[in-house]
Amino acid sequence: MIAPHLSVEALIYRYDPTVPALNGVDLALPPGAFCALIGQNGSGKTTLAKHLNGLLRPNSGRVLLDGQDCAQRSIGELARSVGYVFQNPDHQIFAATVREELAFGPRNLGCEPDEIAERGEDALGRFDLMALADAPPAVLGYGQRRLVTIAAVVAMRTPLLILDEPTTGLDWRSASQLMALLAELNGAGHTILLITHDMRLVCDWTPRTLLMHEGRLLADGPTAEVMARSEALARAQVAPPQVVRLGQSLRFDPTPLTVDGFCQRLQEGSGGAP
Amino acid sequence: MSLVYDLYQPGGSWLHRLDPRSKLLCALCLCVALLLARELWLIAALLLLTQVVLLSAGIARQRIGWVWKLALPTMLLIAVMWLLLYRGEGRTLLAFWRIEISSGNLIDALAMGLRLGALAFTFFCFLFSSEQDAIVQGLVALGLPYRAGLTLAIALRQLPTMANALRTISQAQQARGLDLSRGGLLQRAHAYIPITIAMFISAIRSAERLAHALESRALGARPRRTSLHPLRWSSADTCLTVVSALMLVGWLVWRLLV
Repeated sequence: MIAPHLSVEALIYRYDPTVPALNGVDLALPPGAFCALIGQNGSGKTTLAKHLNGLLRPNSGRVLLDGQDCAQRSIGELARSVGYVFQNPDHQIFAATVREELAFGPRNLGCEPDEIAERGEDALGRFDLMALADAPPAVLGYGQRRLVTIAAVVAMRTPLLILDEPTTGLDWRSASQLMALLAELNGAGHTILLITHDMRLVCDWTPRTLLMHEGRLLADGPTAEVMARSEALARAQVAPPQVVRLGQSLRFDPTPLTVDGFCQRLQEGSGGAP
Repeated sequence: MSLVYDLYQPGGSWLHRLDPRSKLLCALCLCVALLLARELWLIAALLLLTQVVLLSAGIARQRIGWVWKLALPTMLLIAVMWLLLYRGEGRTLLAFWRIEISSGNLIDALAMGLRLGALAFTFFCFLFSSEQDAIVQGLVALGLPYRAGLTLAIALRQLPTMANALRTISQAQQARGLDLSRGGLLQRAHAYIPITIAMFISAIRSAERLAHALESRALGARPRRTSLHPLRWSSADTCLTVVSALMLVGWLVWRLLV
């Protein structure tokens, strides 16, 4: 899988003529990136993400996919390269069975019936949905509906995958399983952009973090570096996980991002088990 | 523009200050006149009147534009259908195959299209300037059971929310490769099935959630309801209602006599 190079140049977008939702965003996502897009509600995360697959068109600036301007391509055409999982699963689910829901995307991409079936079965297996394959997705519980919608986009096998708050409504185990799956897809070459408010997941899984505030990118870099920028985080009203704050208070350098990392630092510091 | 959540635009204009009952009665008088009128000039004048009312009440131009955007395709469709299917009187302007367009036909088609627009704007004058609670209270005061009044008010309030959901659902399906612009009319209509079904599922789920929320907030626990802000009928309301009714009756009598 060779993911495209995605870049955003001086992107400005307004829903309301007086208030810019995006106010000059510059961003580059190289192939194989695994990024978290964080920021408070209304900071422009979803608006930015919707520009990456052509759902919104810039008022000014450009979104380039492998050097080609996305504004010149249809949403259907971009759907071959960019998969997008919406925040609310009820905005996506319509089919009579989970299997049919998973077949919808690949069918739209023009896949042959054998390939549609193979992709569907693969996604059912990956997301542990085999037992629900013939169930109507609309009547499943929220967490299961969430997984169905993610599986349906993963079945499209797009090189770039955008997920808008995919772990909302999932318990910790399911959320961790989902993140492990995304890491696996990233290992296979997919570029992943994850919109989330869950800082613990960000610190546990995503190597790079983009911080948005009032339509601008306030910080962009390795997650450890972004989590160390206390002033920017406070301005964006984002709090790092407790373990990161504890590490910062103890002046650990570099600050461990995970509990395991923290324990390891303690062991190294004390020369034995904590 | 905050049409996303509510049709009501807060304000303190003369239209906002009127009692919702008088606004509704006036709107009903206008509707009767619009449904019975055949004269193009009268329908156009009433449509113009709604625009003047909205602008003088300080309703944002974007809101008015939003209604035009909603109504114009249907107005055009009705006018064109009327033009093609109905054979009117007057001088023949154009004739081809089995279709004959006359001057009378053209005027009637225009009147039909404008009538629909004027009807829509008449009710939007009421909806843009009346709070949901006031609408419910007004309908109940006019004799509608409380639950029916509340249901109607909620249904009206849900219109922009549903329009917003429809746009998001359409985006979600297009992001999965659904092409709404490809093929002929039938193929395009077929492409809307995933959007329509998802919309129904979302609407049913949303209605169920809302029903649970209302019941958990003690809807119907007491048969007699009181209000924190009771409606106040002023002399301006009496004036508007009487003038509207007199003008309607006067016009009807004039039509019968002339």
